[in-house]
Amino acid sequence: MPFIQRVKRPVTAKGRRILLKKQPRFVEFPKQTMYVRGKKANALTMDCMKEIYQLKKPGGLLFTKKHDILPFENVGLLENYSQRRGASLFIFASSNKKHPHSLIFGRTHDHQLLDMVELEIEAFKSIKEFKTEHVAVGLKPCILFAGEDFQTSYDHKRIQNLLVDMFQREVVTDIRLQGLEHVIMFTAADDKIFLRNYRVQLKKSGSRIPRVELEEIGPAVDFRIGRKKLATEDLFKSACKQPTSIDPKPKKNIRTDAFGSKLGRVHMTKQDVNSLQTRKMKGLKKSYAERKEQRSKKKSASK
Amino acid sequence: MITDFRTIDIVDKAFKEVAAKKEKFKPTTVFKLLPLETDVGTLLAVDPNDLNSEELRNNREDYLKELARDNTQLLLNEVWELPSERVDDVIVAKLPKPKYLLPRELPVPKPKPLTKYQQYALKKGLPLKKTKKHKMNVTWDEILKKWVPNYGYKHAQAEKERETVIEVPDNVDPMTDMFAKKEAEKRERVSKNEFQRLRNIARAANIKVPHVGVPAVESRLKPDQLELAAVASKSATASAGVFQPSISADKTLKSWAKPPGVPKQKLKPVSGRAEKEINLNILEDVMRHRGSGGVSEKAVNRQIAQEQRQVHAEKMKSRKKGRGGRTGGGKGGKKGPKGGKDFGGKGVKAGKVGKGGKKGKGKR
Repeated sequence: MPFIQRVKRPVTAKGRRILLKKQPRFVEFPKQTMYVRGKKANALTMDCMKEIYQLKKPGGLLFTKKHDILPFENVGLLENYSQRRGASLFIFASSNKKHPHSLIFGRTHDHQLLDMVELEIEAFKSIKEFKTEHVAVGLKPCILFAGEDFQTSYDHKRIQNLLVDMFQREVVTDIRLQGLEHVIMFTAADDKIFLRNYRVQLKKSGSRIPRVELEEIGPAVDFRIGRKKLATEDLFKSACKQPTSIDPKPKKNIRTDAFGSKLGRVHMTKQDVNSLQTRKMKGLKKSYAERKEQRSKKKSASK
Repeated sequence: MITDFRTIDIVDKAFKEVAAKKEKFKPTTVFKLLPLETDVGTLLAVDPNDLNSEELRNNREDYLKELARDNTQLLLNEVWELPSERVDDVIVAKLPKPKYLLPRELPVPKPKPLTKYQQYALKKGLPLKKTKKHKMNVTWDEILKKWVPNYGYKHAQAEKERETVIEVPDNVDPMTDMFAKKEAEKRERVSKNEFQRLRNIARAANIKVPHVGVPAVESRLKPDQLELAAVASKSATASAGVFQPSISADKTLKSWAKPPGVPKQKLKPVSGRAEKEINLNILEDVMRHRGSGGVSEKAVNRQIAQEQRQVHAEKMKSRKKGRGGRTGGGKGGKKGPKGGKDFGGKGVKAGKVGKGGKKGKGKR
């Protein structure tokens, strides 16, 4: 029997499931983040990165080995990791003479780099320095942005989008009101971004809505915006394209009653065929006498 | 009078209560010059108001904390307005869909391209998929008196057991091995199915695939199949049919029946002007190779070589003469080559040789 060169298909059910998981889908899984240690990452950048990792726990892939990558020169390797690990967000820690203490925040779309921004750490206050109770793991945070730069500057707006993507966790439909515990605030002023974390304390206010008090929990980081590589408007727009079939159009004239039986409206009230506008023709035009008669009828009716 | 006192008391008490309440509870309202841009679905609030740069410089932490508190209060006020329900002693709010647009991780999946059968079924109004009925994996075999799997493990074994003999039909050569024939037919069916599957994949990926050729199983070929067989046999040579003489059927062959892998010949433009230009180009090309003055380069080279040979012969002659008489002349002859290399004028060369001789004389 001649050998047939088949198109390679996964042999095992497990392999098939893995491949299926990597294929594009209408409703996506929450984005995973890779935390990559650069070749010359120092203690400060590593601490900062690890605390962000801790904030975003559970989930995340921490790469603790040194990686000889310069993302702004060649991002190919990071894209490769992104494809293999199925993680589209990354944070890269590095520190060198030209760009000291920097964390590179980035994301990919279709395993190609979309946006990347370098944030140099100017001041860092660790979680350990705040002698307060930390928030529970895995809570969806409230994300706040302040500063006119986020309104006026195009680049800042994109950075804001990247930060929301990075910290929003996952899309949820229900939320426990007592679970609204964590607040992340980004403030932009003079080319800097201040990252602050707070724990929410809900106090009685005498009404249904509680009074909010905050307590700082850390990490608190002052970033200076360094190099950036942002996607073109077209690419970003195409990356944001959402499937149309996620929420189908509501079906008209169909409802279910209290007993769960399906009811449909088939007929409307009888249509007045006489007043229906059909094709206009000169031959069908009313004569002068007819029109006069109609007018007089109308007059008498109104009287 | 008494009633008056009483009313004053009540009013006083009420005022005091309100004041106490005010002291006890801080307000939940926040004043902002510009309202926040919020997206409750993502729990996101963007404050468009200007920052107090002086406060930010001198009293950063407190200022940021206060700002965060106000903004959080405004965001949570909106969350508390959402419809909520009690689930297991916990109040849960229903979040709306996020409005803030974020890029997707992967592009939106494209619909799977239809196979050739599916296209046909759609056109004809046939069901795209056979309606699935619950089918047993095994069937009762009357001959073997046991349950036999429909396919897979132990199916082939049972088939062998059952079919110990196959009748040879009248229209078939009695010496044929019916078992081998059956096996070959099955192999052919499997291959055909696999080919069709691959072709569907290729079509989906927009890759051109050569024609299938002629099926080997069918006993009698249809006219178009015969035509195709003729073309296929023509192209089935080491040179893919390039040096094959044309067959008479060529004229009638359809365009799709062209042998695969042979590129289509591009037709040249036929307008008179374009044709003239092409012809002129060819002429110019020919003329360029001929060289100037109607004499070919090859001929010129031959002439030069001949002259050189002559000069050399002359030189050798003079040298032999020199050796016999004046030795200096020989020396001069050796110095001469500078002149000998120069092909400029034939007349000068002889003179130069002589010069060399003179020089030699001078040295002596």
